[in-house]
Amino acid sequence: MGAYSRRSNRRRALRAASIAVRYGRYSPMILTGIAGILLVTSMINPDMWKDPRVATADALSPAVSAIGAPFRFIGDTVGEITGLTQIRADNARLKSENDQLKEWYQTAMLLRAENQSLKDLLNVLPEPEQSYITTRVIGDSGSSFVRTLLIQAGTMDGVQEGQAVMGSQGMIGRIIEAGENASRILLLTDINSHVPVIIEGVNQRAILVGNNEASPELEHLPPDILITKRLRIVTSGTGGQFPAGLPIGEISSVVNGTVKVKLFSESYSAGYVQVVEKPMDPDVRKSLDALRSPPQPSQNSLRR
Amino acid sequence: MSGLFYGLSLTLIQASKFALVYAVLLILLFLSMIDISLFQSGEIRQGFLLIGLYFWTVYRPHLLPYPVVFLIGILMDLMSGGLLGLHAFCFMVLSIIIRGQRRFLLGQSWQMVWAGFFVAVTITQSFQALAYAITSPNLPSLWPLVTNIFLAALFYPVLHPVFMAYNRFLNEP
Repeated sequence: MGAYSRRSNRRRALRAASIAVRYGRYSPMILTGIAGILLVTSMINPDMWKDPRVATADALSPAVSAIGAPFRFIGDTVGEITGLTQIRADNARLKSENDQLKEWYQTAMLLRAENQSLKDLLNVLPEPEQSYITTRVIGDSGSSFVRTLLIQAGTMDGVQEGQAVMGSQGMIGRIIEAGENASRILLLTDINSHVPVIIEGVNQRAILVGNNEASPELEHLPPDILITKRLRIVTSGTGGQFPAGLPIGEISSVVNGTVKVKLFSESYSAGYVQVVEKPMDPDVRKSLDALRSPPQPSQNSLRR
Repeated sequence: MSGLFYGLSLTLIQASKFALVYAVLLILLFLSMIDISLFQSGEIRQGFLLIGLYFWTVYRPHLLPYPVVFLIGILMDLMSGGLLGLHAFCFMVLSIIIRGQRRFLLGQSWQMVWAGFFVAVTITQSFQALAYAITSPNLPSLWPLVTNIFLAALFYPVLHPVFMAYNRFLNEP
C-alpha cells in the first residue's frame, strides 16, 4: 500500500514538473498571442477596453502625480534659473505691449458698447455663460503616436466626455475619457482629432485635423478660397459639441493647398488647463444657480 | 538560532536588492508618462522603460520572466491610453528575441549592447508606427518615428553604467 502511494506521488510530481516545463516553453507564445488578440480587438474597436483604461488611470493618477512632483519641481527650478536672463528682455517687451493693449482696451470697450446696443435693438438671445474647471496636467501618453494628456480632475469635479479644454492662450483638445478623479484629453495635434472651425476674416468653415505634429491642418476647404497667413482660427460651434468662438490658433503656412495652423497654446507647456463646461439651457442654469446657496465660485475656480 | 536570523536577514537583503530593480522599472514606466518640462519632447522619454527592460533581459533574465514583461506592457498600454496590447506585444516579441541573443550580447562590449538596443528600439517604434498607421484615418508622418528611435537610442549610454553598477552590486553577498 505504502509503495503504491509513493509511486503515485512520484507520478504526480513528474506530471506537475512536465506541465511546468511545457508551460515554461510555451508561455511566451501564449502571452504574445494574448497580447496580439488584445491588440487586434483594440484596433477593431478602440472603445472596447475603455473602462479598464479609465479605471487604471483613476487608480494610478495619485502615483503618477506623486512621482512627477519632484521632477516637476526640478524642471520648474531649472526653468526659473535659466530664465532669469530672459526676464529683463521680456519685461521691456511686455511694457511696450501693455501700452499698446491699453489703447486696444479703449477700442474694445467702445466696440463692446456698440455691439451691446445693436444686440438690444435686434433682440438677440444672450449666449449661456461659460464656466471652467481649472486643473493640473499630471501626465501624457508617453508616445508620439498618441497625443493625449492626463488631468487630475474627473466626473466628481464636473468633467464630462466631449468637453473642450483650454490652455493658457487657446483650445488644446477635448476630453475623451472621464474617470472619477482623472480624465484624458485628446489633443488637437493627435491624428484622430477632428474639430469644426471657422476662419475669421474670410468667414470660412473647415475641419481642423491633427497630424501628430505641432501644426495641425485645415481640411474641407473650397479650392478657390484665398487664404493668407495669420488669419485666426476659432471653433465654429457646429454640431454643438463645443461653444463657438473658442480661440485655437492662426494660419502659419499655405503650401500646395495644405493649410497649417499654429496653435496659440502649446500642449507640452500646459501645466494647468481649463475644462470648458458644456453650455446648458440658460433656464436650467439659472434655476441651478438659484438652488446653490451660498453661491459657489465655479467660474475660473482653481482646483488643486 | 542566531544562524537562522543571519540567514533570514541575508535573504531579506538580497530580496530587497532585487525588488529595487522592479521599483526602478515602475518608476521608469511612470516617468515615460509624466509631463516634465525638463523632457518637453515626449520622444526622449519613449525609451526610458525600454532601456530598463532591455538591460535586465540581457543581464538578469530571471528577474524578468515573461509574465512580468507582459504585465508591464499591459500596464503601459492602460496608462498611455493607446491601443491595448500594443506595448505588451512589442515587449513580448523583444523579450523573446533578446533572450535568444543574450549569450552573444553578454560576450560583447557595451557599444555592441548599445547597438542591440538601437535595433530593439527600432523594432518597437516601427511596429507601433505601423499599428497606428493601420488604425488612423491619415498616414502618420515618418519624422516622429525617426526622432523617437534616435533620441531613445542616444539616452541609453546615460542609464547603462548606472544599471551595470547595480548589476555588479547584486552579485555581492
